[in-house]
Formats: sequence, C-alpha cells, structure tokens
Amino acid sequence: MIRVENLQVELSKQTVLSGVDLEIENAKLSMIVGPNGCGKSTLLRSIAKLISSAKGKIILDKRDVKNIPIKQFSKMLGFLPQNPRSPQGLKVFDLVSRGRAPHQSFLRQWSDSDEAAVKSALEATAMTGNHNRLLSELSGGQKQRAWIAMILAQQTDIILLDEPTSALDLRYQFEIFQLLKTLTEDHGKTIVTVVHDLGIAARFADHIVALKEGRVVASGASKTVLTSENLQKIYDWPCAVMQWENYPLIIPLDNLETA
Amino acid sequence: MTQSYFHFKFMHISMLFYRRSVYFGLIVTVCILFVVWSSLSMGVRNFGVVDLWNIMNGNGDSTDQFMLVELRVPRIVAGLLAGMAFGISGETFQSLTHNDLASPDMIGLNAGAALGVVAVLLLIENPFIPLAVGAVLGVVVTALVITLVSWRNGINQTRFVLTGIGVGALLFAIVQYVLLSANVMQVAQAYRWLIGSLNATTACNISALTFLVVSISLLAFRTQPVLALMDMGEGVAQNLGVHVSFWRVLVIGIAISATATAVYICGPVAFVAFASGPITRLVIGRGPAVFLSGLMGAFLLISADFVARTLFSPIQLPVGLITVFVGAPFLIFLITFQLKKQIL
Repeated sequence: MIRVENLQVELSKQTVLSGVDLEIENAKLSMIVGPNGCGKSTLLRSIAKLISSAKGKIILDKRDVKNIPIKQFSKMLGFLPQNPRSPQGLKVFDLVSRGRAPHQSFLRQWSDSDEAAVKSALEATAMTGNHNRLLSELSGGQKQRAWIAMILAQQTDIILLDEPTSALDLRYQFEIFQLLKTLTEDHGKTIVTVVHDLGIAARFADHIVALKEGRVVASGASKTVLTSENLQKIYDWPCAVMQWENYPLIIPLDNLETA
Repeated sequence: MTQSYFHFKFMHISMLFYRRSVYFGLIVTVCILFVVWSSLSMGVRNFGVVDLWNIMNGNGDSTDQFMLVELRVPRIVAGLLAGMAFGISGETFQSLTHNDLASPDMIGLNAGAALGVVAVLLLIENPFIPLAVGAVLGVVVTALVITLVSWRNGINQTRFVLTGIGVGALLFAIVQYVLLSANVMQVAQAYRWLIGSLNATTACNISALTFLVVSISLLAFRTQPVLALMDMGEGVAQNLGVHVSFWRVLVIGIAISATATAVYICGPVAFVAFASGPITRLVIGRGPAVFLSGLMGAFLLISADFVARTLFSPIQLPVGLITVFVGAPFLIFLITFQLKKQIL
C-alpha cells in the first residue's frame, strides 16, 4: 500500500501540491484525474522520489520512501514519465533489457533471470515478434508498449505511469489499459496512472483520485467520484452523468454561465 | 535475443558487448596501428620496416636513433593520449547535454584551458607553477561561468551552448590581448601552442600523462552503461537505480579532466573533441559511445598530425591547422543534415 501524508510541493516558488493525503491499495488500478496544471504529474513524480523538495510523508510498505536507498527503491517501484526520451538506434530488446538495470551491476550485466524477465515482459505486452525492430520504426502504440515492457522487466510490485496513452488512437488506448487491468488482476501489480480521458477512467479505474489546484477533491470508486457535482467542482464545467452497464458515462453540457 | 551482442562470461562476471561496437573498435585500432607505423617510418627521413626494427632495438646510427626515439615516438604517443582525451571529453559532454554542439571546443572550454596556460606562461612567469594547473583551472572556471550565466531554474541546453560559444569567443579575445602585451620571444612559443601542436612534447612527462589518460579511459568505460541510462532522461535513469546527482558530478569531472589534459598536451586543437562522438555514433548507429569516441579521437589526431608533419615536409604545419580544415566542413555537414532533428 502507498500512503501519502500531507504532501506539499513548491516548484519555482509556486505551490503545486498543498497538503495531499491519499491511500492507494495494492493490486488495484488507480487513476489520478484533474484539470491541466492541478499537480497530477507532480504527485506521481513525488511518489517516485523524483522531487527532492517534496515535503510530507510518502509511505511504502510501512517505510518512509526517503529512507529507502535508490537502488533498492528501483526494485520496488517502476515509473514511466510522459513522452520519455527514446535514444537513437535502440531496438525494442535493448530498451526492454534496460529495465533490468536495478538487478544488474557493471560486472554482472546479463544473467538467465534477466533473459527470463525480458522474455515475459515482451510476451505480456505482445511485443515478442517486434523485439528485433528499431524503436524509431514502431507505431505510437507499439512504442508505448515497448516502454511498458521495459517497466515490466524491472519486476516491481508498483508501477506508476504518467499519461501512458496520450496521443494514441482509441484502439491502442484500450489495448494498453486492458493490459494494465490484466496486470493488476492476474499479476497482482499495483498500478497508478495519470489520465486525461475520463471515459478511460470510468471504464478501467478501480480507484480514482481527483485533484484540483494541488488538493484532493474526491477519491474512491469511479461511481462515487465521477458524479455531476464532483465534475462541476473539478473542471468548472457542467456535465451529465449517465449509466451504461455498470460504468458512469460522462456527457459535457453547454455551459450556461459563460454562454 | 542477445544475438546482436557478444556475451562475455568468466566466473561471476557477465558482460554484454554490442557487436557493431566491438567490430568498430577493432577496425579503428587497426587504423591507429597503421597510422602509427606510417608516422614512425615517414618524415624527413624514411625508414623501412627492417630499419625501424633495428633502430628500436638500439642498432642504428645515433641520428636515426635520436630522430625516432626522442622526436617521433613521444610525438605519436602524445597525439594518441591527447586524441583519446579529446574524444572522451567531447562525447561525454555531448551525451550529457543531448547536443552535438556542446563539445568542449565549441562551448569555450578549450579556450578556457588555453587562457589558463597562456596566463601561467606569460603573466605569472613562475617556473614552479606547472602549466597543467593553468589548464585545469581554466576549464573548471569556464565551465562554472557558463553554467552560472546560463542558469535559470536549471540548465537549458540551448542557452548553455550559446552562452558557451559567446564565452569562448570572449576568452580567445582575452588570450589575444595577453599575447599582444607580452614579450615577443615568449609569444612565439605560446602562439605555436595555441594553434595546436604536438611538436613541443618531450619524453619527460609522457609517463605521467599516459597514466592520467589511461585512468580517464577506464573511468569512461565504467560510466558507459550509466550514461546509456541517463540518455533516456534523468527521471528514467534514477528510477532504474542510477544515483543521478552523484554520477552527473563524476561524469562532468571526467570530461573536465579529459579536456584539460588534452589541451595541456597539444593546445586548444579544435574539432577533434567535436567530431569524434558524432562520427562514432554515425557508424555504430547508437550512442553514447564514450570509450570508442576516445579511440576515434586518437585516430583523428594522429592522422591529422601525420598529415601536418609530412604534407610540406620539411616544413611542419601545426596539427590544429589540419583539424580546422577537415573539421569545419564536417561541422557544416552536421549542422545541415544531422542537427535538424535536435533543438539547435
């Protein structure tokens, strides 16, 4: 379980997060939503120990993350930023095998367990057939799957993804979130993603955290968070929420106040 | 799945080497050996293989002996060392900033080292302060100045490079001013060194320099996998267990010492540091390749020096002149065809 207590972050003298408290359950797919600039990415990066000025506590398996050494932490939690930089000339296999770095050392760069981990990561993301292709010749959806395979090869229990499907077509979006869902259900991974698309959140999230101006506005199951009152509060825009099968269906309305 | 690598296994050691990198390294090494052999045998006097063997074993006449052992060998070794150091410093800075223009000769670090050496040589005139101190201080201070001037909530690489180019121009202007105000006899010596030249190398400090460059190369070899991870962004690297702030300082330290060493040996020779990395990456298809860029730098510098020494023999051109003639067109090529994809 990840527990965040009174997290405060200031970046370039501006308050980005002002006292965030939240709990993320194990083996669940949790999603962070909210308007642009509300601190979603900052929250995710803070949990990944990437923001050194973060104040407050982040507790992972009863340990304050500040006290976990970087190398050990890298075996516990994998983090994928939005639009990571893909170096020139790398093949899918090369990228995925870099996910093994936490388990390797300079004099022990490759072992059978590395090989097995890379193989199963490629299989889980359906990238086995592409392992010998250059990253630069992949489609957007394939490239994103390659990055996710890298995080899977890291073999951490917790995975954080910052907008893993931004700029992807509907079909690729669904493929990736279906994959994430299987990873939580069948492999017991704890996954936290930042998402923009509320349709995706409604459809796939076990747990939604809604942020606004650096604070948690609502948190819980999709049905309790994605209500028309909450959406008005979060996005300052009226929405109707209907029910389709078991999922909330969100329809943005005309805004009578600005019209 | 590891078919594009050589897998080296020995006891508990297990390392992967990218096949193309290994082939490239072998080819460059063979080329280096060929240039070394040519440089040994050709010049004012030409020696055949048998002559070379005899002279090296001490069975030649004393003039030949002197020419080979006291003049050509130290010069070649100096070229190899300086070239190696230039290649390593260039590729390290380039991969750290993700920008090919950020090599030490472009962003004014060579100029900083040059000013440091010239200052020690002409202004301080104290024989107990070694020129190397001037070179190291020059690079470190210049790097700090560029960083401070371009700092605005972190380093923006474009601003860093442009500031460096400006600072470099300013420093060379100061060097010119120092030269103008110094005494003529010393200026000739300083000027020759400033264009970049391996003539002045003597055998006495070669062993210390060899030790230094070999250490730098081993460290560079060790940082290779870390740089590869940092190439994906510092966030990704840290998440994969890299202690980013520690390694960044270490890697910059290596690059700065390499720059200072190279400039100390042969003067602020331009374009070797700049070109080694891009050429290496162009051939093997990926980067960063710090160690191989070092080999490439060694090859480039001793080839340039061979040309400089033999083109108008017995007149010896400074090696810096040759690297500019070859390097400047390469810069234009790179800006036109390669850098389009990058920010600058």
